[in-house]
Amino acid sequence: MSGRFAAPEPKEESTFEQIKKAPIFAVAVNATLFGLGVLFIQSPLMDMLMVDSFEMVKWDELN
Amino acid sequence: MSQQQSTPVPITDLTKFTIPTLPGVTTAPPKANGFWSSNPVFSYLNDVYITISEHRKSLGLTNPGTIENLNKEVSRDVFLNQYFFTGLRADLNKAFSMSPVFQTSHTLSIGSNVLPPYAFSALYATDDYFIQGNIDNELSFSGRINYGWNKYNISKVTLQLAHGQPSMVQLEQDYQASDFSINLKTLNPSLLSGGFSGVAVASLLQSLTPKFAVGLEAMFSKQPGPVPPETLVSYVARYNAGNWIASAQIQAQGALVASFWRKVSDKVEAGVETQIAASLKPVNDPLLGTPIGFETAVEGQTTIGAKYEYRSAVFRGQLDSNGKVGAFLEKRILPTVSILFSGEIDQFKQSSRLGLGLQFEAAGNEQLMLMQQGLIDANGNPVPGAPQL
Repeated sequence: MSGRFAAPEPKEESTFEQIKKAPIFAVAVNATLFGLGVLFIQSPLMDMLMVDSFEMVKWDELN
Repeated sequence: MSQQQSTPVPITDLTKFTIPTLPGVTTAPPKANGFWSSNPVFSYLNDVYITISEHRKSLGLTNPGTIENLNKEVSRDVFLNQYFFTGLRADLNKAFSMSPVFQTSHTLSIGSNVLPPYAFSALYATDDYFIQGNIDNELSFSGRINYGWNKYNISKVTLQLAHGQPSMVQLEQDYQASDFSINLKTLNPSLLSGGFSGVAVASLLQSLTPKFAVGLEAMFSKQPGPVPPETLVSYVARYNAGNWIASAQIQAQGALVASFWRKVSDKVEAGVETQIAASLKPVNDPLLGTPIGFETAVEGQTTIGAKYEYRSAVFRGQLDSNGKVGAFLEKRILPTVSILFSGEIDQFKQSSRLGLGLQFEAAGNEQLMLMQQGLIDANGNPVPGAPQL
């Protein structure tokens, strides 16, 4: 035996992993999520999630 | 010859001469005698100041608030940050008077990493003063004194004496004018080590339009000894459209915070906040494991949440991009007893945290007790619709 060991071959990263590691990825993802969050809050969907005062009183009475 | 024509006008009295002026040009009216108004340089500067001041008034600007409260509506009102707790807790609050405000609070807690097993706090407030002190079972003390010199100037002193930790004192001055706010503060200032050491922060927030404000915050930090000082500057912007507010902050250490808040109705608020921070992470040699350099790492988190105010309950819920779902409910079950529930599930780490608490309100006198029960208002008058006494 030569007593030498071959160094382990570093695993090649996939393209997605490389993109995921790039600093711009976190910026892009969070900027997109922020934009979607603003759109959601400003959209009629948020108004639909609003409980009107009558239901609030009813919820209070039930509890 | 008449006598009138023979009376000469003294040549030294220049005021008697009528100097012809150009059409449409009038001489400035005489000003009150005084160094600041008669001196041409100061008179000019005074006129410039008055012109700018009148122009600012004509813009209809309002005070933009402070940089400390830049995204208060989201981070303190809607999100759970200020309210979330784990384990069991019980609060016993007792109000002794309302004018001046004096109340004490005992807090007992089990199973929390943040709350001490026991803490006592007292609060005293008048129109000018606000004094608060807090001490826990390990004799860690924190106190705050605020004094309002007038409606524009507030001085603040904060002191923390924690067991086994360095003590901290902070001096702060707030100046809130009609269209801008200035805040000066210093943390652990000292002049004993051959110059200033400690942290000094100055911030300015200025309204540019009735809805839009920009500002900056500069920080100077110097440790005692031959350590070079450090300076950082952050930039902020805030747009307040009435029922929604957007703000952004670029911090010098490489962080960006953006937030958006909307008042959906009188009882419902919603907000979203994004934090992106860049930092240097050490890179280790893959074979030897020793550090060989640094690489830039960018981490971010986006949180969306909502707050619902019911007649006798307040609910807050939020969801973030790291897979955490959190909720906080405060429900008044009796006029003087509330239950608190907080829960959080981390979907990525498969973990959860829970908190359950009771809050008791006691009154130091009969009038306060009736106020707590909603029977009378602050002036002692019966509340309409409340049961008759």
